[in-house]
Amino acid sequence: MLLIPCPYCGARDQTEFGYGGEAHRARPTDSDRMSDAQWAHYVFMRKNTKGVFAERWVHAAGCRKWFNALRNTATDEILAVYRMGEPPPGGFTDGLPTPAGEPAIGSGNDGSTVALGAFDPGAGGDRP
Amino acid sequence: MSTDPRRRSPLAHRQPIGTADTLHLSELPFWGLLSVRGDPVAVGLAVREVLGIDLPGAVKATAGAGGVTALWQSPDEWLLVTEPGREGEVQARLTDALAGRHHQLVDLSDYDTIITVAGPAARAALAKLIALDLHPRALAAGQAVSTLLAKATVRLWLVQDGEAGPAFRLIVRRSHADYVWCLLADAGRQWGLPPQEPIGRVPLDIGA
Repeated sequence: MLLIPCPYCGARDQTEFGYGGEAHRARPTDSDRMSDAQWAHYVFMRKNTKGVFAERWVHAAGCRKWFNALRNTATDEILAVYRMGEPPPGGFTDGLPTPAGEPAIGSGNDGSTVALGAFDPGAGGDRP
Repeated sequence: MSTDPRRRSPLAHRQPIGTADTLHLSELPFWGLLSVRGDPVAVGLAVREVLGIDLPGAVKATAGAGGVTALWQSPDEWLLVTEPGREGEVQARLTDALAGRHHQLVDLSDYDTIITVAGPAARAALAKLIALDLHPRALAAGQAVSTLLAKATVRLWLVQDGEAGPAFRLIVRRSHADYVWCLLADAGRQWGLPPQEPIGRVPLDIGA
């Protein structure tokens, strides 16, 4: 159970919140010219970061506002919360050591890159 | 609000239970509830002009005047609670004052009802169902907060607190009202509240 600090209401129990997945994913402005593969990449593929991760939460049983949080996915520590539209605060981008000291790659980190290999969504075409 | 004489409150099938010297549950039916949303400055000016209330600007805060209380809901949303039957008049005056300003003003009176939980054991009984800190230093008289009671969303309003124990008002959705009532009665068993069988005799499951 997490104690999540809502930027409007203060620390509240996790059961009051809903999870919104990865933050800062901008909707493509030229979607009419995108291939199906590029669109699918935008819709379905998410980072699977181990370490500091920017994600969205909604305080569903409280103020019902969305906000962003920086969470260390390895330790579940919430490092910062900030409002929608604001850039993530700096100082956390290097990632913190995980409890067992696993390597960043090969243990679930950066999953979409691993799954897609060298696939470049900007190049168009189908998945390799 | 509905003016139909057949109007029935969500807990019309329940009678008040318990005693005021330990724990007492009752329904306050048909109170007026208006949701007002918009820019805090623009809406705040209109509300002050019409009701003489300075809209609260922070979590848990409330402000009242002339029988109407504004509860903070979010940075751009407040709930106005009025005595039964006054919501139409308040809504009409606010609509006039807010004309031309971007806002939302909705009458929720038929959507929610109010359950009062009062008596010296009220805090302990509610603490069985609410994860929030209910200690007087965390929730003082005159404060209100939206949270979860078991699985239902409630607005918890501590109207007064004193020698006779705290008096809470729970603003709950119509369809959650019987669920909340039965859970509160169950939580109050140790203070002598009688068991309340849920409508339809479906056993309550508050989950993990």
